[in-house]
Amino acid sequence: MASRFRKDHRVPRTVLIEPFDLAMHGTEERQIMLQNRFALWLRGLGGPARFVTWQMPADLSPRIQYITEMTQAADDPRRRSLLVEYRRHYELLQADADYQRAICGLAVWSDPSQTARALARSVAGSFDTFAMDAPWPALFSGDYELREPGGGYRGWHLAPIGSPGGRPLYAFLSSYQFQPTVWDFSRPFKSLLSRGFPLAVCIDIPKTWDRNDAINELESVVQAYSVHLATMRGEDSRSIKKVNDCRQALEELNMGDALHDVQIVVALTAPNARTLRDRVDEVVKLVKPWFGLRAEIGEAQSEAAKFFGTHSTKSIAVPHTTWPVVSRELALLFAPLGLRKLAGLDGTLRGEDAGGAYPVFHNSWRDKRATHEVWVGGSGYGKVRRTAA
Amino acid sequence: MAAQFKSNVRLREEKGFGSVSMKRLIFCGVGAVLVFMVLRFTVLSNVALPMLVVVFILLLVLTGSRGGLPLWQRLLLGLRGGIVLAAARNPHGLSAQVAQMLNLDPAVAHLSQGTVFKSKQTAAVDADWSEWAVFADLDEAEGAGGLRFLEEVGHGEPL
Repeated sequence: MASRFRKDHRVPRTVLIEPFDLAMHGTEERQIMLQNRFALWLRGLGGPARFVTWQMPADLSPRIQYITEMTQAADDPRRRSLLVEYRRHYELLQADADYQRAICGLAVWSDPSQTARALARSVAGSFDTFAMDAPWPALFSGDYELREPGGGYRGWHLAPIGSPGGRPLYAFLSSYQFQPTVWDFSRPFKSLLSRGFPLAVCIDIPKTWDRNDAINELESVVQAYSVHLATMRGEDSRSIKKVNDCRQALEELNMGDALHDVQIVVALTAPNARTLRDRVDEVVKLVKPWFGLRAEIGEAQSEAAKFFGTHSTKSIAVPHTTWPVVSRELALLFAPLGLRKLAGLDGTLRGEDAGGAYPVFHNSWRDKRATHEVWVGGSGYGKVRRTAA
Repeated sequence: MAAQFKSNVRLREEKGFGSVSMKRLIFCGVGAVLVFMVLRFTVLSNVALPMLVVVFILLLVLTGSRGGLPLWQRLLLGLRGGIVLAAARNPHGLSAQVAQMLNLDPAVAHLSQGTVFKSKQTAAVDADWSEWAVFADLDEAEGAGGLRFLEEVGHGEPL
């Protein structure tokens, strides 16, 4: 009764997490360590959790505007010329690139006594990246309405109402099957998040099983299949595979992993129905070797938008087609954390990401992880000003 | 760094006939036999046997899964969506009455940013620390009407 009371009073705590560069963990050993670190944190989950990545097109305009304003306000001619050079550099970067910005968020339903700040500290320590307690950004702005198939797209979708003002259409796709294949930190999310259009991915974890309950559940499945195989005439390869999978899962559970129910929800956007159809087809085809996606039907389409907020999974009226995974598998679904895009434009330009596609800015006044820095250069080359720029 | 994902280890789907699982075959068979038995006691007893076959095939088709959902559920979701949309467009029409009868909420057809993505993080527990004023000196704080140290609390009891 006491545990039921606690469960009913769980409240969502949200944090925003800055993606890091997975290529910095370039060796096999480092990536195994990263997976183990994620898995260890996930083993400790006591209630529902949700991980979301939002990706949208971005550019350096705010930074260029900031530098322009600084140039106009600068009194020192040397400083002004240096700032003009910076602006030119940013404009060159802008002209050659097609940037996207990504941010990740994590929500955990926990006891009211646990604060979001404690969660942020726990996440920052376990995932080794910057995390802060903050509400999640809204997936879309303004009002939307449910639309039936038509206008070039054969599925249900959401369309903006009122003055559209360039707001896109939305389609929500849910996973229903995970393929028994090899997943890693780059497959399938790297290719999914390389699409050149805005999208959001939600990894919903509505339930983390108690270890004993999970073991009992899997053992009963093994027992039932053993009886079936003993009485079966002929070959049943799927049942044999299932028994092997159950035994492997049991071994991993006995080594300390937890069993989680997981569902992936993808939100796609497009300016019109035909483009939405093309993008939905593209994404469904792209991830098919790893997991199956279905477009939600009817009112489930509008309900699925709630996965990108802090509504509990039980209150979201969609068909819940979750898939059981152990912690070390679930850790790989957090791969978007390691796919750095154009992060914040705050701070100083420090270089490029490992892939060379994105400039990396860092404000060491705000993020105290890098307080010890050495700037090398001759006198008058702007070390101090560059740090302050 | 990689993991071999597994099949659904919690789902039992013993082999039945062809691609149809044993569970589904048993469900369709039991459903068809029930219809057959009921019809045998009515004036339609002469069509009971053909109905047994028809119902069996119908149930088999309706329970066929695509996108993780059986056909009957996909049809039901589409129908509910259609009713909800019609009720939202015409709140005083027949569809609105049908929606009310089926306990469907036409409001789900409209989504607002403010309601769907409203943060439920309670301010009582998570105060925004950025709004806290930090003073360099205690006197400065007391002068600003902020933090105050009392020498006595309640009924004259010392702090």
